[in-house]
Amino acid sequence: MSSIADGTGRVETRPASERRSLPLAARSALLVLAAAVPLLFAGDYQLRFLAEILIIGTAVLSLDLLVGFGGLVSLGHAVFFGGAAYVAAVASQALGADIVVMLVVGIATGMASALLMGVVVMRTIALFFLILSLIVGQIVWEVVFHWREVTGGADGLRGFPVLTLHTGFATIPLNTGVALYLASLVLALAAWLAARSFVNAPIGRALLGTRERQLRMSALGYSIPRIRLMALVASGGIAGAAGALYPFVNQYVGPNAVHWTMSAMMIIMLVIGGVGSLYGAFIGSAIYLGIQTYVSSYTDRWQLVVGLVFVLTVMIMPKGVVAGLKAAFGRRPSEEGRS
Amino acid sequence: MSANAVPALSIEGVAKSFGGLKVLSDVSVTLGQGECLGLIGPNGAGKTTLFNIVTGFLIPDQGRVAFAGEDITRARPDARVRTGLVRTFQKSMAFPELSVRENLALAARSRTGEGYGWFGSGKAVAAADEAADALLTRAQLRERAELPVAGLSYGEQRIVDVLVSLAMRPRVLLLDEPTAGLSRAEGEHLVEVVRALGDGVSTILIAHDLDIVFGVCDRVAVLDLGRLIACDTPDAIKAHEGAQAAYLGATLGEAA
Amino acid sequence: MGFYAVQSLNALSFSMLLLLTGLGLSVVLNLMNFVNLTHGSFFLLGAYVGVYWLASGAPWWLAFPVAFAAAGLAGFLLERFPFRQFYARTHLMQVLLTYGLSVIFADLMRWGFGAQILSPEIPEALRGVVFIMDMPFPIYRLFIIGFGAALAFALWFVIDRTIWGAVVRACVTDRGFVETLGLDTRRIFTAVLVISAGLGGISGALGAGILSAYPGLDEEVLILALIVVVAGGLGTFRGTVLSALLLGFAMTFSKVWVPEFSNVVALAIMAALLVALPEGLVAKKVRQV
Repeated sequence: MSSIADGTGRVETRPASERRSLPLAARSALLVLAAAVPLLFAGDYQLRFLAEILIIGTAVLSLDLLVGFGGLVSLGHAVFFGGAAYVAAVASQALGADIVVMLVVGIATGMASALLMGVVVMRTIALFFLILSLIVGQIVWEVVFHWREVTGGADGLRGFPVLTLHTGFATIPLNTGVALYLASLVLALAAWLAARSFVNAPIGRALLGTRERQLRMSALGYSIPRIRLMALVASGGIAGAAGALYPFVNQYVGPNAVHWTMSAMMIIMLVIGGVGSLYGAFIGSAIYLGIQTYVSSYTDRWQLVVGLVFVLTVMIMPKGVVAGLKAAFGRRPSEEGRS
Repeated sequence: MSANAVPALSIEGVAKSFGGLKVLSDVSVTLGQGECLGLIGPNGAGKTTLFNIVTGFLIPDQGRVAFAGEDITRARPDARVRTGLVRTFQKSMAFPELSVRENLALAARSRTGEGYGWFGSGKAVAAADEAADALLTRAQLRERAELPVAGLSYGEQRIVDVLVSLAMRPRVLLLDEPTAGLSRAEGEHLVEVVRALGDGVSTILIAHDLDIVFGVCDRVAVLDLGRLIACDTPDAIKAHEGAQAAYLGATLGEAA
Repeated sequence: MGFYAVQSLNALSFSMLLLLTGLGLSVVLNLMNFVNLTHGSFFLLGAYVGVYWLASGAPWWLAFPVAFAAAGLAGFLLERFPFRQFYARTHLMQVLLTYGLSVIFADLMRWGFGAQILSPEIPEALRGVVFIMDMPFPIYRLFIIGFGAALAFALWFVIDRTIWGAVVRACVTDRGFVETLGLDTRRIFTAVLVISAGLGGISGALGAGILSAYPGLDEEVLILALIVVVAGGLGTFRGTVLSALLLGFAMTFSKVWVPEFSNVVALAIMAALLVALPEGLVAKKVRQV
């Protein structure tokens, strides 16, 4: 079988905590510190930008479950993310923008659309999966684009209520850069933990098995469509959670959020950051959006720059920039895993 | 085996062609409860195709397959496995980069549905690991549990392959040349492991080493050019002229 | 009656464009096991070349060989680097590499040709309409049908019926064996890619008369061609023809009958096809296990 996936999404067989030399507490402290730095130095605009990176990164993380562990390269992934963004945006007009409600709505939308997509695509593999997910995604795009009364058609939707967090005694508005950054940070962290537990749980092992040896998994009694469907739904839920916050950070949601080029962009981010690494999703999202935001202020040719970075990554560092740079500086990630 | 008991597996009038090539024609065999049936025949006789039909990787053009009396001719491969119809392949199909224990645990989890668990599946994981270790202990491979399968010797890999299939607690086990490439002693050891750990599992064994087949099997079936030309006790098969002719004059029992 | 005859011809001309573009993709996939997503860029390059050539006043019919040559040259250079390094890689890596390149080319072409929509000046000889059962039908579309059919037939003939085709097909099965015969397989692969890219270019020059040329056309065409090739069963000639016809007719007639949801209907038909036949219309016969 000529599988569309290859070794790029290799996971270590041991949990991450055993691999690194730093103890868990020290690493957590470092992470908190790193997350706190922007709060001190970044302005409102930069914090909103970081929030966007984290939210798109979360969507890319969910794609990594499919691509990196299932070998399922989907060009319809934007449907889970963008679909949830639209539903949350519309629902916020009626229900108000309570963050918990929005997240529930988004996760439900993401999972439901992933279930629908899954029923259609779960029996296909490789290029057939790629194209079928693309077709399903474009059908959704057509609907979003033409259903003007609800989605705003080509213009998209703007002007949402302020995202709020209800604590027991007070309602906190989440409309500043700081608040949106923190909310996205919590979301990204939760999503990363969920994805990591998925990968290390039996279902994650089984998913990896379907990527490596489909026939063997059948012979072991595993139902491959069922594994794929579960992976899609889990991935859709995470993408949906990210999508739910996207309108409030971005202040806009348009049909491009469900277009296949959005899915392609997520794949580009994932590859730049490192397929199968989970953390790479955020690195890739930061690099892509960084180029888009900062290079475009100097030249119109930012897509050229993104394309070049992407192609060079594929050619020189197929495991992503982090693994590539580590290898270049002598610390081979594969050896690190063996200790 | 009493005559009126439901056979563990029955293959009735199975035929299969690939394009114009007839690979199997009108093959009928039954496997009794707890029986070990040898399946022999020259290369290209259709042995593996028969396994593929029994395990659902191929659908026969004609005929039916019944497992414990139930028609499974068109059931999906993974569904057959979950009811206890398990096979091995000629090539080792273990995951080389996973440890021996994980390979066995992956198999042990498949039957219970725990293989699909996400949150809160810690107990299932521990139970499967325990089951894996128990099997490894009985096969005297416990100290290999942590190693990736790729790090084992070839003989050990073949045994792990068989252990993986046993971890699924089969009721019927189909072994496709498990002893290929092994020395006589290693081959016999492998078959002993199956007999010892299988707890009365009904088995069909394909092997080229006829001494092993004649030594351990209760009955032996001979396939040649897609036809079943004999199915009888080892002694009867050794004396069977058609079976001898299929092996081009080699005297069965001495050949190997 | 005349209305449907004309719509059928419309569908046929669109199918022919899809077929020509799809065949370019399918030839490389089938013969070299290489997924080339820069094919849409070849199409758009050919379209721009066609537009500029037809505006230049040079003999119009040369536009098509020139578009073939321009895209073929691009294909030749790309084959040298970096495609060649990726022939033995997985489809995923090929998809990523060539999609990345197509992003680069899209931006380069936007830079070079501008962002506006360019429509070619249809040459005198192909302007105007003929009447089919009292309904007008553009001559240019007839030209596409005829020219496309001839080109597709020639390609099929070369691949399926000549010694060159046999050699290329042998390369796919066993490259080493062909090399022991003293043939340079690298050159053969280069030739196949140049022809494929050239086909993309010529389809672009032909298609510009209907679709025009603009940034983004490359992606639109690429997606349609990919759908054609994949739904056809990944690179079988017969499958590609059938699925190009299916998609062309589905898109044309859904525009006639349900203009609001035309794309949804056409896409749904292709999706249903792939759900029913997960390996495409004409699956390659492989023995399992």
